[in-house]
Amino acid sequence: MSITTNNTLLSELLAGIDPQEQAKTDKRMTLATKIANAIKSKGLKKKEFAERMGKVPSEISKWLSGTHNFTTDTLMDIEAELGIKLINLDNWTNYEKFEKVEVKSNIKQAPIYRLAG
Amino acid sequence: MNFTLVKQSELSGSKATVYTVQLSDGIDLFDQFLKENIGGYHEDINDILQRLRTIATKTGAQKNYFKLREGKPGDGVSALYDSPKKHLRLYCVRMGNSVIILGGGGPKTTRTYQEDPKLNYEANLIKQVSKEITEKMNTKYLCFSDDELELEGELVITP
Repeated sequence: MSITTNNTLLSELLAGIDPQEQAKTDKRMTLATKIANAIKSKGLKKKEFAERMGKVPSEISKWLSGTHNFTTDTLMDIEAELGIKLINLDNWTNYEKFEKVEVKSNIKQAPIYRLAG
Repeated sequence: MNFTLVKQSELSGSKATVYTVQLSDGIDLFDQFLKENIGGYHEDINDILQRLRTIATKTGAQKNYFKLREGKPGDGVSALYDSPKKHLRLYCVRMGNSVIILGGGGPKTTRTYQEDPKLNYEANLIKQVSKEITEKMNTKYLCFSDDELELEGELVITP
């Protein structure tokens, strides 16, 4: 049987967490673990992975800690090294279309376009 | 050292259960950590709580989120990995991916915890907690639940 307790300060602090900030933390930590698992799947030790990435092991520890803010360049380097996908650009061709607006005017002006739909 | 392992339901979830350490004088180490540091380090506290929430609800207590060798090898003392640009250190005992026991901590002011009296005290406390828990696990007074998500048995630890 567990012993539980009500902690007012803790409750207040948890209630005050911004959901967007929490979502960022969730993603950061999940990303770190995805990388950590991929390193393990490749049978690499941290030191070995560090050497392949041109980094020191302590830098890799930082990457995997769930606290690191990666650049896209670094993520792409990790993708290439580990053969995994970290950045999803699958639907990049979905762009908005523009249509030409007919404007009746005596003044000669450049064509006007607006978002279609 | 006598203490009780108290489950923190608000910090626990489907991936991990979080316990705190309540000493025999009634002081809870993590509660004390919050009270001591909320004034000067509100953002740091927020960051820690968010990470604990992620651990409990999304990822479990993955090894890579912790500095596992804060004490001597094998003494079970870990710390939640220090966030860059943040100043607080929180000591804990990590028991696999599904149980964390939170201790206390404080601001990092020195390169090693041994050089800081407050951190040294907190690290030694959690070291003692880890030692007692290991002893209770070895003698079967304490064990994991069937789903390995919680601790069962004697949560009131007396040496």
